[in-house]
Amino acid sequence: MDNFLRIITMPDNVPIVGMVVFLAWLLPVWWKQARRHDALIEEGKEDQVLPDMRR
Amino acid sequence: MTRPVPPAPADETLPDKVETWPHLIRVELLVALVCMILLVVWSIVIDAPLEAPANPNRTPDPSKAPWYFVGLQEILVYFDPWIAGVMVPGFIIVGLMLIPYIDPNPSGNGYYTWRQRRFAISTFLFGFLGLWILPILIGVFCRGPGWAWYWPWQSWEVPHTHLMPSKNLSDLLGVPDGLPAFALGAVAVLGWYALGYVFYRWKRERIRAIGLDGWRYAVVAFLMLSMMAIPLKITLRLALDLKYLWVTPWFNI
Repeated sequence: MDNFLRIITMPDNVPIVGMVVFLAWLLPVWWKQARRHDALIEEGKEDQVLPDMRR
Repeated sequence: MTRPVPPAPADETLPDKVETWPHLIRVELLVALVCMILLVVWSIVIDAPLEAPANPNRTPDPSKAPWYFVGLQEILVYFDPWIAGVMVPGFIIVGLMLIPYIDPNPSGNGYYTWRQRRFAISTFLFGFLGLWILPILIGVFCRGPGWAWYWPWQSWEVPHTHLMPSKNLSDLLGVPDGLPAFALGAVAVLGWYALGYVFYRWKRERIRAIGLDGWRYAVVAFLMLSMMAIPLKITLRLALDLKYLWVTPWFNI
């Protein structure tokens, strides 16, 4: 585990560790919004999708 | 086909167009300043990870590229350097540049959706997460001395063997070296790309219905088959210890 901890705390690897955190955060955000918009389109409320993006 | 989302209804209280300055440039300037401050603080607080002067009698092991190149370094385990170092990055760059020309579907512009862009999103996520980020994570976190596989909880003090593969497709199938082996490799590789034509003949009406003409489809199929060939070759290497499918004097696949 020592090597792994050394690797993730290396200054050189901050961006890739950060990217993993961002992906774990933003992919569920995208998925939630995409499903909400799909539901609006399914209900025939296409005109509410873009205002939902801007709120 | 689902209905596309129409433009938002016009808001009479908002102008139709706004000036780039100050509305956009001001925000960009602020973001640039924040990034610059962050980088300056970062460079002051964290030391550059410089190592001892290079010594040819004691090379570092493992010798890893910066994180953004480790994915390509990881792919080098499975491919000829010409393929992993030149062709794959070249196809990625050219393929990304071609997206505006080969994707005529406006659905999903300006809003998030899944149902309207299943194929595009699946392809992107597979390529980005599976073929770009995953090899980087494997190379950064799971490769130790000798580029052997080490799980995070395993010590690098215990040597792991990393055997180089030695069998080509012709060896696995018992085909003699020389022209027969060359022909077998050519049939395997070109046959893989011929699948694109077979699929076109099979689903021509559907392909035209989604707005892909012959040339656009040919580009999409070539890029798609090239992309899917990467995990296929990796699987063949891991399952059958296959070194190359097609050995030529110029390149090896």
